[in-house]
Amino acid sequence: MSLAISLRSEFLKTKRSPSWILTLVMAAFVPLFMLLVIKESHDGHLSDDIAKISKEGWNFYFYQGIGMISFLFLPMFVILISTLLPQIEYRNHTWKQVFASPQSLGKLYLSKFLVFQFFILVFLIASLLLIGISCVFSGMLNPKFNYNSHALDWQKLLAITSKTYIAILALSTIQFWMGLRFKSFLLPMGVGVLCYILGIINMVGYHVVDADKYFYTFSGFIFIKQNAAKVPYVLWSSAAYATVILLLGFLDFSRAKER
Amino acid sequence: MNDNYIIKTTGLEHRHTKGVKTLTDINLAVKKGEIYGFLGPNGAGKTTTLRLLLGLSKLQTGKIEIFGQEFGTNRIEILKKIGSLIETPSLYGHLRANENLEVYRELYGASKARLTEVLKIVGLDKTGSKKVKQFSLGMKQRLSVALALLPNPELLILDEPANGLDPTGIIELRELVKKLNKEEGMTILMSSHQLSEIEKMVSHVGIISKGEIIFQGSLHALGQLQKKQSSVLIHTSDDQLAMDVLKAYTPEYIGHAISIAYQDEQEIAKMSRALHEKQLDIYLLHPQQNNLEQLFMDLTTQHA
Repeated sequence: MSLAISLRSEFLKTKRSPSWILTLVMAAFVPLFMLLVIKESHDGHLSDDIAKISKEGWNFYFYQGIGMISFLFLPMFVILISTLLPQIEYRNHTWKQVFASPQSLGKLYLSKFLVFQFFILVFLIASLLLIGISCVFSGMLNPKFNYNSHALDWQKLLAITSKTYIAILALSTIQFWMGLRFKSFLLPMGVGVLCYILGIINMVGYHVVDADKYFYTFSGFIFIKQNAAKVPYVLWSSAAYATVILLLGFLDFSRAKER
Repeated sequence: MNDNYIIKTTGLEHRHTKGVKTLTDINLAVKKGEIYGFLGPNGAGKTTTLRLLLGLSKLQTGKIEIFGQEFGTNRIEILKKIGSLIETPSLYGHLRANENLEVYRELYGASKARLTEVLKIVGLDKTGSKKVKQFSLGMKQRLSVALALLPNPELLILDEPANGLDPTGIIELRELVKKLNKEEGMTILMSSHQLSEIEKMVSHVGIISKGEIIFQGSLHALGQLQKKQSSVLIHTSDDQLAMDVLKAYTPEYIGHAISIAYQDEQEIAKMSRALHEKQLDIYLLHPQQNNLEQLFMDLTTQHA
């Protein structure tokens, strides 16, 4: 039995589920927010950003957007979706039927993880597309920004988005494990939000542990200019954490006494 | 092992996490082609046993062989040939009936035609775009049966399948089970806490009480036991003398009357004549013929 069959089965379960709505709604937050706050005039005064933005409008707009997403919205989305997806099984009492079906536990676990990662990628892609649309509207509402003077640097955008995705891998994997492990969605969600808030406090204010080792804030960490030199280390760490947590999670998943 | 056995468990024992023993020395034996009724009151250990058979609970002590293969090492091969319905319906409320089956179709290697066929069998082929969360409990139960039938299984495990079904639904389920057994040759293991619910369709019965099997055999063998368990209540003008007269029948005084087990009605006539010869007035002569339901109740109550 191939992994593709288990994967198709897992995708089918998400059809018409709230996971899609959550993904699209959360992806629309930042583009809408940017449309509201990036204006050429505030209270009748011209914005100081006009000179800066008009130099490379698209790149500025996208960088601001992906920065906000990486700092706050992506971690929050990952924490929410990691609890929402396993709830499809918990809420419908379907775990027993899933475990009584002829598929290996490894393929089942991996296919659930891949579907979860797919939603993270959909969120990132939808966010970028909506930022693009938001930028077009911003150009229409704020002609002084002159967005069309410079083209978007696609390669840079792709590189930043890829780094953001790698940086969130560790957080996403531990949240995935917790989401599968606990029937109540409150526990993984609460732990996730708390660890994230503590991480932000640690990173920007009260330093307790090295921020380049605390993976809950990796996706924000890589956007701080002073951390540029540590970015490769953080990305490798995120991938390594993710691998170890994924394996530990599988050991736990496969050794459950009752399903 | 005997190839004829579809399910054979040896010395199954199970404890819950708190250490409470829920199963003791369960030796289940289900032969190919049987409709096996697994009976017991609520909490007797039926579902725990069925969960062990499907690998939903970790095997602690004992051995499970299904289709002649050890379950632990051949889990996927075995599960491919089993259709199951455990406890409450396991369905995705946000999906339609056909989509629920589609989730599992490829896992079981079933065709799209088979999917349509099983929906027709349970009468849910015309539910259109209605989502499962809008279904009645009976419809959900029928869809769960369709899901169990999807792989065209050699073994069907149904845990309390009549739950939520109305009387018509129960009759339809009964006919369906008989048909699947007769026409498709499916071996069926179904649990229930009511003998009357399944006695019209099963060929073999296992009765479990307090985690122990207290009877296992054919329905005919259960019928024989029923006859053995029949008794007559007698009350005379002198019960003490009557006990002496009938001591060959090993009578038992139960407070207000004498209870004597009997095999057939001729024996009752003989007892009556013996009492009459001793000039005893007979106030009560009441044969108590156990039906299977009463027998089931007696067996499980005695064991409790």
